Amino acid sequence: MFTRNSSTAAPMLHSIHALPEGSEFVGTIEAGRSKFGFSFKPASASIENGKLTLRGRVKVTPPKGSPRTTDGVTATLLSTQGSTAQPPAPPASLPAALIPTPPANPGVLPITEATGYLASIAVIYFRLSPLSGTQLGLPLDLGAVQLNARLYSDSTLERELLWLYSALLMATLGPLPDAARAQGLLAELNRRYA
Amino acid sequence: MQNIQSAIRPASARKRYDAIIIGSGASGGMAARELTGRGFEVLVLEAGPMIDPVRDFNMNKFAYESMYRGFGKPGWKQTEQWMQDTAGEFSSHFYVKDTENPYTTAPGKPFLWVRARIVGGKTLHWGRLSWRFSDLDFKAASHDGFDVDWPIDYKEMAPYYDKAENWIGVSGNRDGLWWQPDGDFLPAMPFTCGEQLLKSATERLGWKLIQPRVAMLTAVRDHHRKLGRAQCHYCGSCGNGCTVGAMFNSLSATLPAAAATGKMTLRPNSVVRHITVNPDNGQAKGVAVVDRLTREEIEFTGRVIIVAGSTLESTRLLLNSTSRQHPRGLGNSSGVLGHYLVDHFGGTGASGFLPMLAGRETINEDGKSSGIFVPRFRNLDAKTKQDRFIRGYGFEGGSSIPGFPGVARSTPGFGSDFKKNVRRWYVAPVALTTRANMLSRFENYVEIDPDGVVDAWGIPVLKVHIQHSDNEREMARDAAECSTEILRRAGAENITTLRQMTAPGRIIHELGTARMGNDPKLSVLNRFNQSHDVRNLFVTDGAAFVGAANQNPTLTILALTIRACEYLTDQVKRGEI
Ligand SMILES: Cc1cc2nc3c(=O)[nH]c(=O)nc-3n(C[C@H](O)[C@H](O)[C@H](O)COP(=O)(O)OP(=O)(O)OC[C@H]3O[C@@H](n4cnc5c(N)ncnc54)[C@H](O)[C@@H]3O)c2cc1C
Ligand code: SF4
Repeated sequence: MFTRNSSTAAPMLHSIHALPEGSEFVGTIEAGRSKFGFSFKPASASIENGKLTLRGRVKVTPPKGSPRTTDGVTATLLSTQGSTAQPPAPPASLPAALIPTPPANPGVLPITEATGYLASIAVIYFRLSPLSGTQLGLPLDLGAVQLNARLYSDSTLERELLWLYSALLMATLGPLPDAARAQGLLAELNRRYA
Repeated sequence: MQNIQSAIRPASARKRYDAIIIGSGASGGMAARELTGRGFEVLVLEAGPMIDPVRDFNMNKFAYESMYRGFGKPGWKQTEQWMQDTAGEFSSHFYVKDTENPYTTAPGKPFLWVRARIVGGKTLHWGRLSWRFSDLDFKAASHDGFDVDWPIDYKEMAPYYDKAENWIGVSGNRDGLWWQPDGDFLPAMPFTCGEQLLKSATERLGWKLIQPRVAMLTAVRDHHRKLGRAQCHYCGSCGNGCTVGAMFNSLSATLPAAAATGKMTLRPNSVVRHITVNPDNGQAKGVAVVDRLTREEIEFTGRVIIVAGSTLESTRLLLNSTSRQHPRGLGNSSGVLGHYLVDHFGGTGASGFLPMLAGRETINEDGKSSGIFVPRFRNLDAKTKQDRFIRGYGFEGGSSIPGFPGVARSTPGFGSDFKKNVRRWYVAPVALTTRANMLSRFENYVEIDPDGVVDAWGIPVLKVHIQHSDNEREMARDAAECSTEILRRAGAENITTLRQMTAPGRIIHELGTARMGNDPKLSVLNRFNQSHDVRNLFVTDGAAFVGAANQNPTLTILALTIRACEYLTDQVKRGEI
């Protein structure tokens, strides 16, 4: 996941692949022959300059020894990869106004799988605010790391979060932006981080 | 199969190769064979690892040898290779890891991008269907007025189709259809009983149903034998890697032939970042590579650069190759690079069971891997012209069982009754699925992700913008109705009509984005796959396509590659390059 710019500089880490564990994103970082645990736990979500921004704690766990953390890390949305899978059902407790209604008359022509109201997100790519490798005990340059958050969900909370992230991104960046709905979805997201 | 180890040797950063070929899949492998055969010293750069057929091909693996029965550990696909739709437990190593190879899409418009990063590319596990295009396809715009014609015609392409078919070995039947031209085929695989029933039902409707043309050796010619390729023994495991070389892939055919000349250096694990240019004249100078494993950055130089990384990887490479002379990407003075992306679509179709076949012994259904093809029957002429859509589609399908009996999934019960029931219906399934032409439209395009997403090596990734239009939807509706009607006429029961179209990319025939044409203002490449802007740059894969037609594209990619190599050899000889 990294490249070397010169023989003396620390290799640059370009991206971290992470999967949801509850509301956290968890992955591993390989540095040399060692594998470090990585997690980003969002504490809050907001929309800044029209883009989803998460704030939270990064934790790096070395193969031996105790984990190191950095708080107040921001993860700013870069872009997304649309899913081709069936989206999960909306969270049961959601106010009806936040759930988009499928078109009453979808028409007689076939539709394309995973598009329109069947769309959801497979991966969110975030840029993490610059991190210090030294502080986190990693021999890597973490100045511009991308977090590849693959929204694979296998618990109720993870499925709810997948639905909420997908709906929020459609409400902010989709063909029909809806600021009021986006705020409602954001509140739901924050409620689940708490 | 012969091995190609002799070609894996250190590549020299000091030497100027006659040609650098990027990619070792269908097109790259064929370019290597053609050019080494013409005396060129070539360097083939392949992003993925080398493969050892003995160790890595799983043709002889039986699903029941794995506790996951060929489906892999639960969650594996969704966490590592979620877009590699066709990857299975025994073939996952042929496909990219989505964890390292991101791309992005516009919200609500997904694109499924199946990729191989390995010596041999997607040919290691491709479906082998090998169709020619005809002038109905090359001259489609003259036919219906939409978009533009290809700058080439069937007459020009026919000799190259002959060469490609003869070289790779294509089994099929001469059917005498002007819009689905014949070649010099190896013997066709006989139909199963269910397929015979489908054939007579289709013909009663006035349409054709023919044997598929597949790149599998149903007989072995001398040049196949010389490469150690053996005849197919119909095990049906082609997607897991064919160890006897009966299925055409780069590893069984083109790369060994190139290696045998002693003129190919193959460097696996070499991810080309961008193409370098000569600052004096804007011509291609070489390539900048990052080693996939060591992360070392290296540059190689060549007289000619052949880009054959597969449609979208090639276009990504050109878009990432910006310079003072080529600020919008290499060879993109037209602004067309990245545009006119298409994929065939499927999804619509019908499936069911033929009750008259239930309960019999298998004859040739078990392991048969070719099926049937219903060639296009819409908009061929005035009589078949449709009011609601232009262009057309075909049906793939059949009535055979590839290993795991799919009917087991929907059969209720357990124990010996369950087994009896599965066995009873095992020989009776029947299905048709659409392979349809998607129109080439400027607004379906790829660009370098404007928000700066990169892959694991820090290389900027593509953002894909693509969606279907009403023409595709109308065609899909027609296909759903016609496939159901064929099954009904064949006497099928429990018919399910499938009405949802596949997301773009799922058919794995992504094409276009660096189209060829005669006008440098409207196209990226000339009629010989040569960049209009950069004389020593060729793009020989599916990126060059002007339109998708409805037939599988690889045979056309191979034929175009041979043609481009012949032309460039001539150009080099004349000192034009
Ligand atoms: C399951 C499946 C079934 C298919 N069935 C059929 C079928 O029946 N008929 C048909 O016509 N087609 C079929 N296809 C499609 C067919 O495989 C492709 O059309 C064909 O392989 C394209 O050839 P290519 O050389 O352009 O790309 P590939 O075969 O994909 O090879 C490209 C190579 O370039 C390498 N590469 C890419 N970028 C770089 C880089 N930056 N640096 C170095 N190397 C790079 C890749 O690692 C890869 O090995 C199928 C595909 C799949 C996956
Ligand atoms: S069916 Fe034929 S081509 Fe396919 S893997 Fe078996 S021997 Fe090879």
